Amino acid sequence: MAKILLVDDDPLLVRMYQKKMENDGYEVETANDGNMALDKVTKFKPDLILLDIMMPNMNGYEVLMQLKKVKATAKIPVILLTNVGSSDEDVEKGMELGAVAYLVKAGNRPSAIVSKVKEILGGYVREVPKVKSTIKGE
Amino acid sequence: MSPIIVLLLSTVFLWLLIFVLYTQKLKVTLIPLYVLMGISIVVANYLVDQGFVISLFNLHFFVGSVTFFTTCLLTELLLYLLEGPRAARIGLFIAVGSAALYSIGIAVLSQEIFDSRVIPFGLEQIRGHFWSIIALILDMVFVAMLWEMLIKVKILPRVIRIFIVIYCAFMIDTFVFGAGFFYGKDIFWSVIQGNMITRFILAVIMTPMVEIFMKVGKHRERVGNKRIWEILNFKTDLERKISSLEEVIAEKNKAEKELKSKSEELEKANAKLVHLLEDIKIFKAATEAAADQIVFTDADGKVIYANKTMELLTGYKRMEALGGKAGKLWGGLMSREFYEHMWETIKTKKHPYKGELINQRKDGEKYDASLTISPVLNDKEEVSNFIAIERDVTREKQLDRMKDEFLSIASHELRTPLTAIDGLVAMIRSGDYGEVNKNLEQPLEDINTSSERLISLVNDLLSVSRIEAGRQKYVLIDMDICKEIDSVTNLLGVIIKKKNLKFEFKCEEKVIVQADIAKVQQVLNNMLGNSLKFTDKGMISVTIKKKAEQALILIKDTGFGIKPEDADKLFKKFQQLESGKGRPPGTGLGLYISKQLCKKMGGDLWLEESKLGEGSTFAFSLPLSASKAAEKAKKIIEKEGSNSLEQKNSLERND
Repeated sequence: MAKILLVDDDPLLVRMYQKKMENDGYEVETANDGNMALDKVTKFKPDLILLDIMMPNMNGYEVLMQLKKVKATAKIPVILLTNVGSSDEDVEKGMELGAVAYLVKAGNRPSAIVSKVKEILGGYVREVPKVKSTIKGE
Repeated sequence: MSPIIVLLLSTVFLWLLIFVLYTQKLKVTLIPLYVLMGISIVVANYLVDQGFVISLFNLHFFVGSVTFFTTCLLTELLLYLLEGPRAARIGLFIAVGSAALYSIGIAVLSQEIFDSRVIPFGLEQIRGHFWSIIALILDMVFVAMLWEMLIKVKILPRVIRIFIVIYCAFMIDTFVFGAGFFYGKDIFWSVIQGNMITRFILAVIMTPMVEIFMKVGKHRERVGNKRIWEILNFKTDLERKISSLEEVIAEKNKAEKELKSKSEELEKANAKLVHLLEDIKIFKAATEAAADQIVFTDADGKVIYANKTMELLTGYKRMEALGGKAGKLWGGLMSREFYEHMWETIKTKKHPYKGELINQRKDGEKYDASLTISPVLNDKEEVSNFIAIERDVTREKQLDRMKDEFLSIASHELRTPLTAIDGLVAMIRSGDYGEVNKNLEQPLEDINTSSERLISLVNDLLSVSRIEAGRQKYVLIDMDICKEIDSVTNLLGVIIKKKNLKFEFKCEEKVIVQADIAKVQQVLNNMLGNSLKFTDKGMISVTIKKKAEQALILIKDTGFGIKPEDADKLFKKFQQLESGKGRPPGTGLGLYISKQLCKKMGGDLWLEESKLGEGSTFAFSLPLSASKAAEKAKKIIEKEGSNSLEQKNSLERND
């Protein structure tokens, strides 16, 4: 069973996404800030990380950078899941830092997020074109 | 009477005549002189003309009183031509004197006296006199013409010219007169030949005399062309003087008139100048009072004027600014390319420049400025000055930044709870939380619709603020528009089926446009979404056309339609038209956003046609790839991109 680390500072959303993923058969661990996320990554060793950007202590981009620095965690696919901006610059930045996808929460229902997770774990690495996925949220 | 006495008497008569003429020289023109001469010749010829004939070597050297007169007249004429009337009259003395000396010499040497009166007065004599007068007239004309010709041949010394004229004139006299008088007689040829020699001697005597006269009298040779008829000289010296005086007066009057008109012009110019000065005063007062910084520079950008606001804005005193480069007042915080581009625009292209930049006050404080520089061109279309108008827009920029921040925070804060509502409702409806009570299905659907609307409103607001702040980013690439339409309509397929509508889309050829894929999808979603929303039955069709440099995408529906008077409102912000009952209202931003996006990509969006109750056709255009319109759009976007980046960078520095 694939293991997913869900990083978000909003408990309501964490609960919601956790429920959806567990219903779909994933093993879910949660973290509500960047530090905790890095902590959990080493312990939990997830197959995929859903990472919020705007969080206290350490934001998503920084977490992503840390993850990419360490060899053991560099290969874990990370989906940025956020409501911040969604302008092209934000997406570009996330993709440059090594995220596999950038999803806007408001534009992607839990079911869509799960299908994305499935898609990525099924072997897809990145979607082409990169930008497309964010648009539905606009 | 002895012919010698007659000759002497006739000489004395001529001297007297000339003396009288000379004393009256100012009043006498040459005309009476000619007339008197003519009469004297004829009278003397008849009364006293006794020829002297010297027979030597079988030749007849025929000399008559006519010769004296001819000599006098010719000399006189020649001097007149040389010098003018006064000299001519003085010259008569010389001419007559020389003729007299010559005659006396001949008389002493003469061996035979030929009395013309022997020949009875009759036809023959009349003929002789006639020819002598013709000879005189021809002489006069010929001498004048010849002289005018010779006067142009400057290399010939004057003496030679004088000799040529005198001798040629004598030759004519000899031939015409001799032929007239002696033609048919035995002595004809001997007279002609003899005369040719005597006249040569006469010419040799006269030439130096004329030359000496010119030299002694310090007479300057007349220069320039004299028209032939002027030799007749109808005017006396007095008249000449008067007419020349008149000329002087006329010239003076003309000059006075000119002076008057000039002074009038000057007065007018002066009045204009006064007006101008007043204008300048007003303009100066206006520039001084302006709330914007106004700086005038020369063509090299050196400050020649700066208003009071400049001091307030930059912190530099006017005295510090004048004469220095205007760029100094700005602080030079921008990149070199920025200033180079500005300089190229105003100096090389001679276009006005408009832009925003970060400047630095004298005390180091930074401020945002909006700057306009207009080149002033002179008559030769060269830049003579620049006018720079600058405004401190720091406050506006701050407000803009605050608005942006507010919007992004607001959107985040709004979106998070909305995500929860939307997500949870969706999960409940799909059974993630167990089976749903049938009674709850409708309210859940309504919550779903409402949350969807709220999300799209927030998204639209974000879009609008980004578009209006110029922060919308575009990634222009070449793309197949048919593929995009296909993929969007596939997504909407469920709704089309649900509403039981017919959908038509055919793409016969590949149409490659230059656009931002995401923006095109946004536009298509919006347009097709609208059509779907307002169409309950019938069909929706999408067609693509190529027109000039653009691809036209026409979206036709059989929906509610739009009233003609509402057509203009469609593309304004927050405009919602009456949409028929039971239809959820939109945000009123979709068409506005779509139109702005299309325009930015080098196309446009408009209502092609619509009839209330029958349906509408909306159209939008995108530039075909590699077309001029596409290049232009790309350039504009690239420029804006670099500008906003620069702004951002400098703002970061500023913070």
